[in-house]
This record gives sequence, C-alpha cells and structure tokens, in this order.
Amino acid sequence: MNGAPLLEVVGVSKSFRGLRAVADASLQVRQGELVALIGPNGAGKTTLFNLIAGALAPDRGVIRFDGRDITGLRADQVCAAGIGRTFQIVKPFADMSVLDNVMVGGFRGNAGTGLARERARTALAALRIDELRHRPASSLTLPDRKKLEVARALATQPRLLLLDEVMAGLRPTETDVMVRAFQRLNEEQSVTILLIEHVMRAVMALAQRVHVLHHGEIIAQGTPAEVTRDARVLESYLGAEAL
Amino acid sequence: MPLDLVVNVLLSGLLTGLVYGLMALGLSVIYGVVRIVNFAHGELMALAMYLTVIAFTALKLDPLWMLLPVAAGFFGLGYALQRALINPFIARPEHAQFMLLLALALILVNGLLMVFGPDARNVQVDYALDSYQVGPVLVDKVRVVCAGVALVCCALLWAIFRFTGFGKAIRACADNLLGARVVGLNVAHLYGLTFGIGCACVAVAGTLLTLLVDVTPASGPAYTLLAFIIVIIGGLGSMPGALAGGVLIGVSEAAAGIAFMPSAKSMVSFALLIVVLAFKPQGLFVRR
Amino acid sequence: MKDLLALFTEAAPRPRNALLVLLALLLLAPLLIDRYLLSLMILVLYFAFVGQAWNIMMGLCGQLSLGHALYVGLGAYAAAALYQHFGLTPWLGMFAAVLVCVAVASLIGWLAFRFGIAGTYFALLTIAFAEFTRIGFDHFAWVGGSGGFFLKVVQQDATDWLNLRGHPRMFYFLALALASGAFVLTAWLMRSRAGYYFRAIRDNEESACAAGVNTFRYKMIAIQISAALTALAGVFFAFYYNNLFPEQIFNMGRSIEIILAPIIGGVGTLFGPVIGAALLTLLSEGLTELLQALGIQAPGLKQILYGVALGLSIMFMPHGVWPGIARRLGLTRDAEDAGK
Repeated sequence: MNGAPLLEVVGVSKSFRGLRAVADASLQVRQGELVALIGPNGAGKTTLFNLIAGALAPDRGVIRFDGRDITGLRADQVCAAGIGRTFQIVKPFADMSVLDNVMVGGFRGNAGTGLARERARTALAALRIDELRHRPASSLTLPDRKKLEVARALATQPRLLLLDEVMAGLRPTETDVMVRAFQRLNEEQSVTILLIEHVMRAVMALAQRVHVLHHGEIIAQGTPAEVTRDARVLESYLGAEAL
Repeated sequence: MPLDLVVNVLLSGLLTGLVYGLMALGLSVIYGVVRIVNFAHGELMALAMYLTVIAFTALKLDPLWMLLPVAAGFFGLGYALQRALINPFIARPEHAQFMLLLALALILVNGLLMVFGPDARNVQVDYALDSYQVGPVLVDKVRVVCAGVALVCCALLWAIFRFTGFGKAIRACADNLLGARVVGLNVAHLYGLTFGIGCACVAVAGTLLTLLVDVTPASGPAYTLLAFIIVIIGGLGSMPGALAGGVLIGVSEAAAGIAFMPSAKSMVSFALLIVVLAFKPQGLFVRR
Repeated sequence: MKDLLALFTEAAPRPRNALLVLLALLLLAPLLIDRYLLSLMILVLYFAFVGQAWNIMMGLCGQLSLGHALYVGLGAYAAAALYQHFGLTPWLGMFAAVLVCVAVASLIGWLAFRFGIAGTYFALLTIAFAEFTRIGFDHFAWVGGSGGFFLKVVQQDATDWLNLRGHPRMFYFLALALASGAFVLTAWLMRSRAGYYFRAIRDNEESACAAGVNTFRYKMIAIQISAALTALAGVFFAFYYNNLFPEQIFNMGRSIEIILAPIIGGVGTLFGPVIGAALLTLLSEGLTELLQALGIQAPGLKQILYGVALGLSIMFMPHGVWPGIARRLGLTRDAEDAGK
C-alpha cells in the first residue's frame, strides 16, 4: 500500500432545500483497503455515496480519485474513472437477461461485445450466479438481484467498489458467501472496497477501518473494535438513555 | 392597427382562455390525483360538444340548459371509464397508459366521424350577436357568459376539494397514496370520482365552447393537444396554473390571429409548448 | 464488417434458414402475384420498414416518439423539392433528406435530453414539433403549401431507376431492400454495444449511467438513427405516391399509423414490426374488401379498427403478438443459447 489515498473526500456538504444531508464530511480510502461506512438510518450514507459516484453534485467540498479531481462529474464519467457502485434499492435492467445486464457494465472503455461478455462471465462467476445468466433479471429473487447488482459493477473493472447495503436481507450463509467473495476480490484483484452496511456480521468480518456517519457528519473512525466501543457511536445508534 | 380593435381581440381571447382553462383544469385534476395522462381528453370534449349541438338542433335547447345534464352524464361516464377500463392500468408503465387512452381517442374521434360526418356543426343562439359596450371596448355577450360560467365552475371545484369530505379524501390520495390506503380510503372509488370530475369539467367546457366555435370530429385531437399545452405551460397538477395557462393560450392565439395569419395561430401554441418544455418543463406558474 | 458476417454465421440455423426461404419467396413474388397484391406487399414492406425505424427508438431505447410523421414528411419534401425544382436524382436527394431529418432530430433530442425530459413530456414534444411543421408547411409556398406538391409522373412501363419513375415492381424491390436493410441493421444493433446501452437506458436510465453509459449521447444516437431511416421512408413515399400534402403527411394520424405495427407485433423485438405490418395490412384490406362487398360507406371505420386493435393489444398482449409466436415456434433465447 503506497502513500497517497485512492479516494479522498474533503469537506463535502450537501443540502436538500435546507435539510443538511451531508455536512462537511471527510474520509480517505487507501488503495487495497476494505473500509466500512456505518451509521443510523437517515445519517446520509447513501447521499455520500451518491456524491462520490456522481449521481449528485456536492454543494461544497472536493472529491479526489487517484489524485484526480472528480467532483461534480457525471455518474458515467465517474464509472469510467474506475469507480463502480451498487444501489441500495436494486435497479436491474428488468427486460434483459442476467448476462446482458452484466455485459452493460462490461462494455466500459472501448470494449467490444466479446470482451464485455468475458468480463461479465468472470463477474458472474465471482458472485456465484453464473448459472442464472440466461434468466430474465426480473425473475430473480432479491438476494440474487443484489448479487447481480454487484456483478454489474464488477464488470466495469473498477479500482474502487462502492457497495450500498448489499447484505441486507441475506441469510447468514449467503452473507458469508458474499463476504468471502469480497475478500477474494480485495486480495487477489486488489479491488478497493468502501461499503455501507448495517449487517454487523459483515462489517466485523470485512472492514479494516470503519467510519461512522450521523446527521451527515463523520463522528468517529477507527478499527471495527474501537468504533463499536466508542460512546458517541453507541449514543447515535441507541440514544443517550441506553447508555 | 387601431388600439380598440387590438384590445377587443385580446379581451375576447382572454375570455375564451378562461373556458380553455376549465378544460385544462379537468386534465390537471386527473393527472394530479390519478397520475394518468388522459390522452382522450379533447375527444371526450368533442363528444360533449356534439351532444350539445344535437340537443340544440333537435330540441332547440340553449347550450346553457345542457350544462347540468352534460356535467352529470360525463361525470358518470368518467367514473365508469376509470373503474372499468383504466384502473388496471394504474400500475402499468406510462407509455402503456398513453397507448390505452390513445386507442380510446381514436375510437371516439372516428366514431364521431362516422355518425356525424366531417362537416362543421355549430350552435346559433338568439343572443349570439349581442354585445356589451364598456367604453371603447366591445365584448360579445356569449363570451362573457361562458367565461363567467367557467369561473363559477372553477370556484365550485376549488370548494369541492377544500370543503367536502370526498374532496379531502381525493386530495389525500394525491398526497400520500399508501397513507390513504392505510387509513382505509377506497382508492379505486376515489379515483373514479376524480376522473368523473375531470370529465365533467371538460364536458362543461365543451358545452360552453359550442357557443363560441364550430365543432368537427378533428376538434377532438386538436383540443387534446391544446389541453396538454395549457397544462404543461401552467404546470401539471396545478389548478391555478391550468387557468393561467388557459388565459395565456387564449390571449396568444388571439394575438397570433391578428399578427400572423389566422390559420397559423396554433403554431404559436406549439412553439410556446416547445419553449416551455425545453426551458421550464415543470411549468411557468409553478415555483421550483 | 465482420460483425455483420457474424450475425449470419452465429444465428441459430432454424430461424436463419426460415428467413432465407422467406427472402427468396419475397424476391420471386413479383413474378407470381398480380398488381393489386403487389401494391399490398409494398404497403406491408413500407410499414415494416418505418415501424422498424421507430422501433429502434422506442423498443430498443425506450423513447416514445409520437411525431415520427415529421421525419417522413421532411424527408419526402426534401427529396421531392430537389427533384422537382432542380432535377436532382432521389439517390442524391436522399442524402439531403437524411441530413435534414437528423438535424431536426438532434434539435429535438438536445432540447429534451439535456434536461431529462422523458415519457409523456417527450412524446408531447415530438407531437408539438410535428404539428408545428404541419401548419408551417401549409404556408410554405416553395413546396406548394396546403395545395400540395406534385412530382411529374411518366409512363409507368418505362422503368427509370435513376429518378425512381416507373412500374410498381421497381418500388416493390426498393421497399424490400429498405425493409430487409432495417431488419439487418436492427439485428446488428441489438448485438452491438449501442444496442446493449440502448436497452439499459430503456430499462433503467439511472442504473445505466452508473454502469458507465453516457445516456445523453446514446439517446441522441438512437433518435438520429431512427430519424435517418424514417427520412428514407419519406423519400420512398414521395416518389411512390407522387403527391404530398402537409395535412396528410405530417398528420398525427400518420404518426399513429407508424407505431401501430411495431406495437401490435411486439415493441423491442426484431420481428415485431414485420409481423405487425403484415397483420395490420391484412386486417385493413380485409375490412375494405368486406365493406365494399356489403356496399357500406363507412369513413373512419378502419381507424376505429386500428383503435380497437391498439386497445386490445395493449390490454391483453402488451408485449405484442411476436413473443407468443416465437415461444410456440421454439425460437426463444434458451433454445438458441444452448450452444454458448
């Protein structure tokens, strides 16, 4: 792991009609890391992802990826720069097959149909859903749709993967499968991962570092063990009385 | 061009525009609540116009007497249409709804063509040529009456949505569908009522228009387009926007009639639509 | 162009051979059928062509255009005016036609897509442009205005390929070439990156963007291709019918006619527009024959039939007639992809 961070979010803020969703948030992710972003509902985690991924433009602040300023770029430009993302509410291409869905991601860059298909098959295999490839995406169960979502992001050959609550609704065994898949991706293909998660099993197993978001602000960061003992974090999740 | 002529033309454009506003209001109400784009709006109005003309020709009934029966009849028609035909399409994608109503429009227009033929029909009441004189301004009596009735209907509509039980229930559906269902509102029934109200509006507007213009089967699609132009310019789902848009279109059409050739006056409406869609698609009168 | 060859070699043998047989039959048809049937076939091929052009925009890319008659009209007038006023052969005139239509389509696309106008608003925008142009051409004296624009007609037995004057047989082959060309183009598009991107945009634009698709650019490409093809249909129309009236050619009824075949046949499928064109022409001619036999004069009955067909189709077979037929013939993806 070298010195400069792969992803740098510096003082980013976003408001919606006076409601501050993200307030002066900063975080860094180094090449090859597995970092988690946690926080109670409504903390602004998905908004932060949207800002990084280009779905929204920040009101203030800078976002740098691999040294390059990507603040305000469109989502497809951010993808071209090397960031892949999933959506919290999955958005498959319903009338296309699973393989075709992932191939859309695989065309990234100037890839032809053959290369796109190869990348897609590899991504599907990594998520263990290759045998579903000819099924229409609309016929998949929710856990499989989540895997499809990840596969599609994976096929874009990202250097940084933004995963938004991909474990929600999975059974523990499925969660373990996903965790192992991400660990493999991280170790074997040096894919850096930043994930939003509520499923603590996954966070504890995967994350090397954790950032905690509350009311749009980063209130704590550290290893999973440190963060789960932090008083401010506990208060944000459980409320002051519980302490 | 003499000033009083211009003022007269613009004023009559404004008055006609109020009737257009009522027509567009029906469309806006339907969209605002049921979220269906009623592409058969003008065709339904053409149907109402033909019925009024027939009643006049056969029974010598002044269209103003037809207002209540037409409103009631089209309310029922709208309710039936919504519950029987359109309800299953609420969950379908937008273009499917569009196609369904397009099909309905096609059937209506050509049905009218088959029954009544392509020639223009109109209504000639005794007071058609009377006018009021206010200073230098000369205003047709019919136009004033029509505009007045249109305004009364708009006020009635506003009162319904503000003060009655079912009016509030309808607004609840528009604001929060899931919440409305949770508190036990019969959404299908309320949607039916809304569609009925929308159709009643457009039918009343049609009846009023027979006093002002001719009707042909082709009026159907032309008025559908006009209603959409007004509603988009005014802001889809906005009641005052529909009225304001109607007046804007009425006045600009009248102005175009003087400035360019009368046959080109609808070009202005379409040009306005293109401009609004391109630069302020949420409508001119909607704050965003 | 090895992709085009691949289209051919990689296609499943059964449907490919069936298509080749069909093509052979269509090529031989003029020798076997009479003039009336020939004119019917020309209609079917014309609607299959223009339906396929519209299908690229709607079925593949999900952008609903209800003003496609705009491109038919502009293409027709462009080529016709150049021929009638300057003697320019339609083979060159068609470039002008395509240029004009692509320019207008780009304008509409730019106005709409940069603000993300979609769905109903977009459809209304396309209608507005068509209507605006219709009324505009009524006052356009250089091409005859509302009185109409007429191409000089010569003896039909002398076939002049350069100026497209002559026997219906010539137009038949032209229509066949256009329809087949559009078919092959759509098939190629569907397997290309553009095709995948179009469908992604159709199914979920936000997701497509996140997966790296420049949605503005690809929507523009879709509308431009669709307009360019439709321009050619306009050129064909002008030289086949030899008279153009703004009220007719830009009419919204024409736009609706264009979309009926692909909707009933199956939007977004390759065979949909073809099947739909055949069905509709059959239905329409059948009705005309029936009415004539019964001696009934019913203007508008055909349109009512179209309306009923559209309504029934959208209610009970929203994906069109073709998917059901394809399943029954065993031509679905699962059977095809067994080899991949």
